Amino acid sequence: MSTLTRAAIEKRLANGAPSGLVVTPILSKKQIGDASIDVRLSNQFIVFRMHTFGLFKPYSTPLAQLRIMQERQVVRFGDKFVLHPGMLALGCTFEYISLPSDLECQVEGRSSWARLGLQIATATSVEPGFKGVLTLELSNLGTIPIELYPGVRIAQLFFHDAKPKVTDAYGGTHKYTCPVGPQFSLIADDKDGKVFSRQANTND
Amino acid sequence: MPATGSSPWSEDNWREDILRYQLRVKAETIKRLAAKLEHIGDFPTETPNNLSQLIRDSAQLLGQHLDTTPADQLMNVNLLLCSIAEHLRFIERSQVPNTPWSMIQPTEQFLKRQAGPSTDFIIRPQWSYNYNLTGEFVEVYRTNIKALTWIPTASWEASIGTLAQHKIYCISFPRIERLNCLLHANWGHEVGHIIASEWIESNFDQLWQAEETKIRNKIEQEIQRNPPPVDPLFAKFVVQEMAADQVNDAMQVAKQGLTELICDAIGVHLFGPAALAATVEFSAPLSIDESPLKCDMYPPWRYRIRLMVKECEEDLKPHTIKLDSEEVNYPGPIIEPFYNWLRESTDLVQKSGDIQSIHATITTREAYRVIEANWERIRAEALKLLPQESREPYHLLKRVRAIEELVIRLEQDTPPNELGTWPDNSPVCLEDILNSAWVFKVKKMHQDPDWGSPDDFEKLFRLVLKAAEVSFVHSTFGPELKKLEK
Repeated sequence: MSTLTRAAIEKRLANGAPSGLVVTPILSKKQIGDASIDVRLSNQFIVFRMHTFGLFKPYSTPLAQLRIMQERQVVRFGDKFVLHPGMLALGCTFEYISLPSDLECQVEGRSSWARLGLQIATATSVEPGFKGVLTLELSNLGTIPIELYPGVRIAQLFFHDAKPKVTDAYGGTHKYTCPVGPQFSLIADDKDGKVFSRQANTND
Repeated sequence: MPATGSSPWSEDNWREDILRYQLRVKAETIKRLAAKLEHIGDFPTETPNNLSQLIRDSAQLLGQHLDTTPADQLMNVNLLLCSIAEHLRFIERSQVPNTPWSMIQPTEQFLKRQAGPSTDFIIRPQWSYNYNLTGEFVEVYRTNIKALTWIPTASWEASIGTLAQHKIYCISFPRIERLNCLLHANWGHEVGHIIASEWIESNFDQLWQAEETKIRNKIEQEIQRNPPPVDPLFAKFVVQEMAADQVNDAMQVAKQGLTELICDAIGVHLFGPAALAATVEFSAPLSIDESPLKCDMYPPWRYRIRLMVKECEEDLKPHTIKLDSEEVNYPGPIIEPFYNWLRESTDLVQKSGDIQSIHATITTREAYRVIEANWERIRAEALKLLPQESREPYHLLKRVRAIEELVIRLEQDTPPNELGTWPDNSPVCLEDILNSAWVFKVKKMHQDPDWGSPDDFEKLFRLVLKAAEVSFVHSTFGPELKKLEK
């Protein structure tokens, strides 16, 4: 698996969809690095309303209850979102990404943020054919609150060739289709998880 | 309560006693509610906070001057406080979760370009299925405060600060269409109300006065042809009274008719065929030939669509045009389904049910005779009231290549927010985004019988809303970031 470097990334971007790579919009040339593209923080967040929920059971909690547990926040560009120590919030990239069927992508936090205690993404792999904004799991592992501003460069995308290219990439079987905001976990859709959790739920 | 032995009971004293403490509480409650809404925030733009400040400061001022308010004015102060309190709903409903928030900032910026930089817009949903414009609030408050002679207007102006130089309007949209950004092309019509009222205020009386005598004579003659069954002694008086009523009705029909038609013309001028498409879709479930006398003096929808079709004339004809030294055939395969769908509106307006409704009574007939005789001039005068940079109408024809590219983006499940590819990419305007969305929607519905489920529409709305936001951020912050590249 080879990582795309600047020239290859720029060539893929210049091709556009469907065979090329779409990262839209790229507001500054400085976002393209030697082997990555910096992506910016969007202004939408999902925060958790802990007081509404006792325990989250991933395979048995009804969807309606999951909605009670989360709250969507929109912050205007120019305003701030404060991430407190120990807090998890779902954010997303400002850029909308469309991966061709022969590219896979890794999302990684920028070290400048990591040094402040901000962890950006844990689900780092994006499969060929994905279209949408990328949900970022933002958590503050430090001891002081961090102000986040929509529009700042928050993460990096590294691209790798996927060979042979995927046929019917992201074609109808995936859970997250064309999202434009952060997506809450759809772990309840994992059927195999239900198999393993059945016993635990029976014991409740 | 008056103590035993004080002045004798009177209804005025009883009312004054209650109102003095009640109004103090009311004013304070309104002030606190407004402050609370400001504190909660969560608005897509700053405008709801501005209206909130206007309400808060006005209520506070009314409360502060209650001791000097004449007893006979307390009921008026009560009315004013109650109507101010009603305006809090505009703020409350404009919070982010209730609006298509990602297009509110770009839309407000677009509307400000038409109405002036110190004109602010709140955009909020309403449960009734309609679009409308309310306001202007600052001037209404100023007029009401001025009428309260014991409060110096200067102290009110000082309390609201720079807001005194602003104008605040509220545009309402049907709540159930929150995400239906394609239908929100109707917002062009709503901003048109500001232009229309400016034209009506300056010109309508003159227009009507020039016609009034002629219309009155015609109406009197019509009444005399079928005289009312009254004593001949009073016949002349009754005919005059009936004629006066009908002349007044005709004037209202003409005034309301012109207002709506000017707004429609401005809507199409600003948003092009997307505005026509939104009107066609909005009016389809309604009776389109209703007489103005049966629907609050509004023109029949078919009549409105007829004029809008005329406004879009250039975009509804095939052309070969030269764009950047390239010969381009319009509409071309991508735009053609939308073009054909819009041309069905041309068929729609060949029928004349609306004209029959208008001709059915002398009041509507005369009102529309005046409108038709003057329409081209009025339309031109109203469009001239738009700022210089908006004088050029939006034409799909001239944006054919851009629209095609944006439609292709939508077909690839990508938001239609920019043209070109890296590094030659540039954000597009709201008008292009909405027109491309309409072209895409009609194309899909004509070419793919399976397309059109609520999920399909939801995905389209999502991508278009994302495009509106992203292109706004791109054009707002992009130039500054570009400078940093050097």
